[in-house]
Amino acid sequence: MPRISYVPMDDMDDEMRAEMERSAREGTPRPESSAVRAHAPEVFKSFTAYWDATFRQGELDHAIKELARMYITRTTNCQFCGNQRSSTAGLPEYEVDELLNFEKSENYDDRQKAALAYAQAIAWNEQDLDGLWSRMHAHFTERELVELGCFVALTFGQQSWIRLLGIGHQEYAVAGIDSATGIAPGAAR
Amino acid sequence: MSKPRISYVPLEDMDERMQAEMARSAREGTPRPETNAVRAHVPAAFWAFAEPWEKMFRNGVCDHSIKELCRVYISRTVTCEFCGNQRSVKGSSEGLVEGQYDDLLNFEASDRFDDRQKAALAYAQAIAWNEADRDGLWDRLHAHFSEDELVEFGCVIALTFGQQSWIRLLDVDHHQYLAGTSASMAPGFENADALADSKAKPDYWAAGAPH
Repeated sequence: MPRISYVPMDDMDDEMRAEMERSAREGTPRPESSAVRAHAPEVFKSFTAYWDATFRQGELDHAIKELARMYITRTTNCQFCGNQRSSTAGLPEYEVDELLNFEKSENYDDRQKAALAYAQAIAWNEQDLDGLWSRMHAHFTERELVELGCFVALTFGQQSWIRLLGIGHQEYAVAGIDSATGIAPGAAR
Repeated sequence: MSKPRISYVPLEDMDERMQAEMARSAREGTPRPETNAVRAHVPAAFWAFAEPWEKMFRNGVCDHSIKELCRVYISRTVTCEFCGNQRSVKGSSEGLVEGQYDDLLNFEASDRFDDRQKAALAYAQAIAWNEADRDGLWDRLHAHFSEDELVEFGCVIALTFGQQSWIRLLDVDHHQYLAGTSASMAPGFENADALADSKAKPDYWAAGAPH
C-alpha cells in the first residue's frame, strides 16, 4: 500500500490524464509516482515539465543521463526507480556493483565515468573539487554540465522521496493501456 | 573572491523574461542571483527550477514557513553554504526566528520547535538520509499534514535537497553577481566584507567545508 494514496484518473484534468497515459505507454516514469504527485497538480505539472526538459529533451545525449539516473537508483536504493529502464537509451543491463564501483569497471568509457563521478559528487559530496571540475570540463561543455547537474539534482531529490512512499509497479491501472514498458527485465508481473 | 566552477552567464546574454527573474532575485532573494546565473546556461533548466520554486516554495497549499524551515535544515545537513546563508523574508514574517536555525540538526531534542515543525523536519531528515521506521514516520506525518501538503512539501524538500547537493559543488557565493543588495541574506552576511568576516569565525556553521 502506498504511504500517500494514488489519485484516481477521474479526479485529474485533461493535461494530467494525457501525461498518465504517456507514462503507461512509454514509462520513465511509470504511472505510480505520478499518481501520488497528482495530489498537488502544480507539483505534478512542474515535475513533468522539468523532467521532460532535462531528461528526455536537452542538449546532452539521453543515454548518459539514463546512466546517471541508474547510478542514483543504486546509491539511494530507490527500488521503484531502479526497476525502470528508459526504453530509448539503449544501455545494456549493468550489475549493481558495476554502477557503484564504476571507477574500477571496464564497462564504461572515460566520459561515462566522468558523468558518474558528477552524480556521485552530487549525492555524496567531494573533497577534491579541483580534480572533479578538471575532469568535468575535459568531457562536457558548461551547458552540458548545467543540464546534467540539474537533471541529477532532480532525480536524486525525487528518488530520495519516492523510496519512502512504498509504491510498486503495476499497482495503478491506466484505462485501456496494459503495458509493462520501461519495467526492468524480470521486474514485471 | 572565489570563482564559480561553472561561469555566470552575463545579464545581457539573457532574454527579457530571464532578466526580470534575475532582478527579482536581487530584490527579494531565495534564491539570490548567483545560482540563477549559472542555471542560465540552459534556459530550460533555469525555468524548470524557477517556476516550481515560485509555485511550490513561495506559494502553495502548505504554509511557507514550514517549507523554509525544512530548506534551511537541508542546507545544514548537506552543508550548502550558499543556501544556508540565505533566509526567506516571508518565512521571517511568518514567525521563524534566527535562533531556531542552530538547533536544526538536533531538532528532536530542541524546545524551539513545536510538534508539527518537528514532524516536518523528520520528513526532511528521512528524505535526506532515509528512515528505517516507515510506520512511525508516516503515522507522525499523517497526524499533522494532509496528503496534498505531504506531496507538495515532500517535493519542495526533494527539489531543494537535489539542488543544494549540486550547488555546494559550484563554489558560488553571495555578492558576486548583481551585487549591492542584501535581500534575504542571513544576519552577518549582508555584504561581501561582513560575509568574509563571518566565514572566518571559528564557530562558523560550515567551517571546514570543501572549496
